Amino acid sequence: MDNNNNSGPQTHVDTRPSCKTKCASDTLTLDINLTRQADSAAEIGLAQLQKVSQHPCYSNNAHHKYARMHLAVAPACNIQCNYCNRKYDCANESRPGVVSELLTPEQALFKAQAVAKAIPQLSVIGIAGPGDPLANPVRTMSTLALLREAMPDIKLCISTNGLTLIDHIDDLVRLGVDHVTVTINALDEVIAAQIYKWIYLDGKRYTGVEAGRILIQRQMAGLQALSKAGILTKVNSVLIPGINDGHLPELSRELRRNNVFLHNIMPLISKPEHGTFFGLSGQREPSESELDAVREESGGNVSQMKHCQQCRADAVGMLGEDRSSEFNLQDINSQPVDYPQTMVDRSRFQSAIASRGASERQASLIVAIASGNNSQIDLHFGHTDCFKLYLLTENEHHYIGERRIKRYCSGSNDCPDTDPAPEQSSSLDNAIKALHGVDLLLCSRIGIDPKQALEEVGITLDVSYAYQAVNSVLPGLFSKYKDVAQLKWLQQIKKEVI
Amino acid sequence: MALQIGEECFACYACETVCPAGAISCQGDRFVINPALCSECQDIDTPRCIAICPEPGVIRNAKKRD
Repeated sequence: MDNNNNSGPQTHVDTRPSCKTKCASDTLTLDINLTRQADSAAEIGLAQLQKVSQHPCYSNNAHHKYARMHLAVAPACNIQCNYCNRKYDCANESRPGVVSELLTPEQALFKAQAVAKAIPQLSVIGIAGPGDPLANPVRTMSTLALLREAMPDIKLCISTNGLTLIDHIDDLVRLGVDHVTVTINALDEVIAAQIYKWIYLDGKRYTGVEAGRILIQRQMAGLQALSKAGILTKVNSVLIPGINDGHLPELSRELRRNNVFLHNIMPLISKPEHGTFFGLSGQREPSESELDAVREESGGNVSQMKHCQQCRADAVGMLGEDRSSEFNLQDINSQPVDYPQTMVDRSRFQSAIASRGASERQASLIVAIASGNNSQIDLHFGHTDCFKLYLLTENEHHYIGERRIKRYCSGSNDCPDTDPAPEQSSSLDNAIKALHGVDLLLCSRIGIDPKQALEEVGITLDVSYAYQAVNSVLPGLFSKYKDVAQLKWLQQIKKEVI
Repeated sequence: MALQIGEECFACYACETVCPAGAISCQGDRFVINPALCSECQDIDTPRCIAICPEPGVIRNAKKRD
């Protein structure tokens, strides 16, 4: 595992005996500079802005509003970093082998649903260890698959050291993982040799400069593949004074060339009692001013994340807080969650966050949009794997998240609107379930069966805006469906009064 | 002919994940190797579990190879 750094949204599995209290006090500066000199909204793009708008680890704005959780399902690691010692994890840690902490994929889903219900701000679930997610491909992919199917409104992310990332890109795309954090501490194999004791790849241990060379080559190939796949990428780097401090600005230039969205330079945590190589060798931690200086110098290349809390591989809650102890398996086991209903409550809560409470004071609608390019209503219902959700009120509209479904139809775009093949029925059922709580759905086209099925569960369909721009359609939409909104509003008030 | 995992094992699962024979499993708070299944990875120089174990010397009795 990657102790300082293998951080998902942001993971740091602290190894100190008093890690609970220390983690909470490891608060770094809470501002983020998402305005690097070369940045502009146009450069970042709407799709990326929507992707990060609810991810606390990618957006400074989001980290005040949205929560994250890490599922500790990945114990094994394939790299020995000099800042990490797995052996001395404290009793409160998500230490592998401590059965109550390490989760099976099924337990992970159970816990995730309980947390999503209790903390409706939860927008992102990450796998960040306590080892490396991709050194545990079966456990990690099984967990992601269960989450993806059962929790359509949750964003999935992983945090990896990048050694085997290139081997798993297709799985990550298939499972709808759209944020990946890669820990990269050096681009130079000689520097890397001072940071990593060894790597394990395809049955063999490599050390020294050779290990550094293989790791860097595979990390960069992984970054390129992520970019090609459209997966938003953050890079974590541990600032190690005297080893990579002068090198990180050069690294950030290379990250920019590879379309990395955010660079999170974190201070090395190094104490003798941690039992790490660096802790025992007397390697010092960077001062705050050293950290600021390197971030400043790197900020001209890639936006810098400065609100990272270096949290644990089983953290739960808003950044800077850890509520994981409230969600021990033994405590939540007896309360299975009705997730479709939970999803309705969560959408309502997230609408209130996005509209600053307006959705709780007046009639509103939740509209799902089938868009492949994020700007036009351009998708056939059956070809959509991710619906974008917006909240509409009389005067405003707000992006409130997404619902991911398994694509219901694999036919061509100009297919006739006839009955689906029998095997599509279960996909349709899942799609309907995933859209629970949506009032209105806009797509370019829809078949007869799904149309009926949606109408049966009270979702109004409208295909009259096919191929029009989302931004031009949304402002006038509320007045067209005002009656639907008011009926819903009355029902909501009635429910609350009675 | 089989490898053994010493008591210093702190159960990080790495060996279990890479064992091609499925010989390694969790027993309580540490891992053990089933001697009936372990072949000491005859196809490569160093058995995979030893190559990935983060704790030096915990997995022992590897057959000496030339």
